[in-house]
Amino acid sequence: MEIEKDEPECLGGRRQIVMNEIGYYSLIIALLFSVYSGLTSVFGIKGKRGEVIASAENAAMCVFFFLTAASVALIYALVTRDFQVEYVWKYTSRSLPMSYTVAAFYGGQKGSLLFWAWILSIFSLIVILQNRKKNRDLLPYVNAVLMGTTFFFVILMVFEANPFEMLRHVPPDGRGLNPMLQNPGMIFHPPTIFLGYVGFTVPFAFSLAALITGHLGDVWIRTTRRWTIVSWAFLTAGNLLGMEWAYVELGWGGYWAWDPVENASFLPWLVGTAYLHSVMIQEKRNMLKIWNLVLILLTFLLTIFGTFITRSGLIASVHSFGQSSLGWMFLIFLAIVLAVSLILLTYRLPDLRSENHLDSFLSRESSFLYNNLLLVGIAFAVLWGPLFPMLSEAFRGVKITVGPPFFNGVIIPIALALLLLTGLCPLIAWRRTSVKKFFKKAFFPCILSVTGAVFLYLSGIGPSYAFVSFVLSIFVLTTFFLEFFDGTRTQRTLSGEGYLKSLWTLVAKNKRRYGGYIIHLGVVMAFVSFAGNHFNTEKQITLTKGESFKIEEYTIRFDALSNYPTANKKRSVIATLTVFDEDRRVATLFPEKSIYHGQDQPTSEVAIHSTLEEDLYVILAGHKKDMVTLKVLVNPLVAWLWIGGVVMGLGTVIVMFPNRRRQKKIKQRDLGVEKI
Amino acid sequence: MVEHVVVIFLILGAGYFVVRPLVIPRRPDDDSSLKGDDRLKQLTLKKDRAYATIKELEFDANMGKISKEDFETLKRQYMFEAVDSLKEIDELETVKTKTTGLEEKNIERKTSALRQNKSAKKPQVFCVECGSRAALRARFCPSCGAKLAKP
Repeated sequence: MEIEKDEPECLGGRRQIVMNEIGYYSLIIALLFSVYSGLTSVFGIKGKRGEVIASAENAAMCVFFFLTAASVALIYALVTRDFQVEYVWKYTSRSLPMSYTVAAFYGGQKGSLLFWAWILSIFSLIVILQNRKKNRDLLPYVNAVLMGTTFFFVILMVFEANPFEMLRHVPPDGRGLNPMLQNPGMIFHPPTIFLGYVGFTVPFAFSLAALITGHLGDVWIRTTRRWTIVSWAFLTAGNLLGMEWAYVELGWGGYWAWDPVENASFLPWLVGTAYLHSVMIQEKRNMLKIWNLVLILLTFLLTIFGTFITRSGLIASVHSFGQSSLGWMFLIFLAIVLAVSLILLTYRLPDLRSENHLDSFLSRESSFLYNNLLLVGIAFAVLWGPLFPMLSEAFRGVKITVGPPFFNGVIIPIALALLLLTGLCPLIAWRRTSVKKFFKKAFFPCILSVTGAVFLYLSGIGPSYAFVSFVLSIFVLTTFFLEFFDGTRTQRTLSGEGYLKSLWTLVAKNKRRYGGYIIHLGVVMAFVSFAGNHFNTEKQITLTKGESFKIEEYTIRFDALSNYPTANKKRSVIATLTVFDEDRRVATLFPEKSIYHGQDQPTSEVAIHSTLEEDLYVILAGHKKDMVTLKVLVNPLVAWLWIGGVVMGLGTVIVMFPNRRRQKKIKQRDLGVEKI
Repeated sequence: MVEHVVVIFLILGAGYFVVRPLVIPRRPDDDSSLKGDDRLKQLTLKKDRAYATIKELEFDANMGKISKEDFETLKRQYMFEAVDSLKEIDELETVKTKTTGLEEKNIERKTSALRQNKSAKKPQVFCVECGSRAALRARFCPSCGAKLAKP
């Protein structure tokens, strides 16, 4: 691309500098407003002065405004390719497509800190607007916590990682975005995971506010229920998108490697999931108050820890950006949050004793409790993954990584226990279930599971974790089916409506429960897909033009090899392969090996032929004239993980769907129609 | 130069926005920021929770998940919880609207009637929320706990 060297470029350059300066000043102003807002909201509530609190809330809105200005300034610098800005130079280049150029906003360390802070400021604004007329006793403290967290991220940028830092000269071109990041995943994975991470700050802020004010009932939990489920859904989607991205881009044949960075985002998901389940016990029975506070605190700490791991450069991976001093600041922030929360928790401990107790070990409450223990158990095992290399480096100077065998050995059995619990839970009612009732309910699912087990065994699947996973999945699916079936039948008896209408009423009447079942249906699909890993096959082979080879039921024929440059790539070598499934032509695959501009190392683009049954996964490992070396994998059931993800999303939408009756009520109240 | 002017303008605008609540006196009825209606909210939540639990228990009993005896015991327990909350809500709201002692007696009578489930024999109205019958003078729907409009 030609660089215009006439006057408009100079004018553009001047405008770019102006925007850049505005961006940096905006950060400083946002920093000051966040301090002001945090402090005055606490003074306001202490001195019972409504006008001071109102001023603090307005200041929080200004934080949003200035962080938006800073974000716009950075995006402007990226879009106008202002390479004098170090960040733009480092992560983009003239040949980078526009979508990735904008996505580079959160592609690097400094930008992603700004992105974090910006999302948090948006969430703070929403919290303030949502609670203009409610939770007035909690809100000043909530605001203070949100502003405190914003302050931390902005101060990182102002003093340590300024995204608007200028170079002394104007480089003609940038270094370009890491080729591995040039995938549609780049556009979706980071924002979703960040929305999940940042979203958990809101329930955390409310929990601290509840601890400070001593209003420890379930008001804070109910207020943040939607925040929690939405953040959880984003975190789930973010993780799945990350897995999909790793699967199609990194080219080693799988989607999960127990990499420290993967673990870092799996951890808050695990503890967040435990929290999501245990808050239901507090809502229903007013129990487990301390446990819930501990879980949300841990979830928040782990989201910060996750950001720290991925954004501080401590651990080498596609996510990190070299060593920096940010690590210490993150650690100090984590220590402060932990200390403040623990002090508050200890102070309020006498008020947090539960008024109720478990009625029976065979009740839904107890099963939720077991679920929590298992999830937290997995979290402990996973935490060991990223911590161990750091500890071993700190104490012995050697980085020892805990590998997949450790994780698979410890986590798979616990995960299978969780799957079993998913199936048992619907059979048990809240409060108590008699053993007789329980066995009566479990009879049919058990029979079906045993039949399934025999069938699986006869079809050649020997005893293994995968076998257990399949059998348990049958059990869970049967109980879910019965739950919907019995529910619909009961509803039909009560209302006299048809089956479909009854099913509709059943789900509409209790969206949380039945939406929850749908989410778990997605989880079962994911388990089935994970079990498929057990049957992966892999072959490496060198073929000359026209030759073919066989893997499982597929025959792959090597037809052609092309080699040419593109706008974005220095060189792109693409093999053309025709795939036959037992003599029937099913696909043409194009595995690729390219060298991007500004890079020396080639990057592989895998080619995948995906069906519900299995994925044919082809990597171009090497090539010579008319000769290719291919690494081919057949990965069964992978597609079900992505389908499971979509089903989980669907379930979340059902859970979140607003209640029409409640909506009407709120509307009436707002209009002053409801006269009592 | 331009950037400094822009930044100064932005600071002035934001500063005005932040300082305004401090210098412009608020209308007294606008001072909602310090109202503590926590107790009332807690009670309403407790009442809603009890009603929701009873509904769920009924459904679970119909689906055969819990036995008849367990259902009766648990239902009674939650009925009492709901009635206690309703009573307290009514008291709080009566204090709010500064009604006379006569009306408080009325509440007492009605809650005890609700407790003994005698209200069904009296003249009835229908709840607009769930369609259940309620005593003519009832303030809350006995089925879903919604407030009933005064006839």
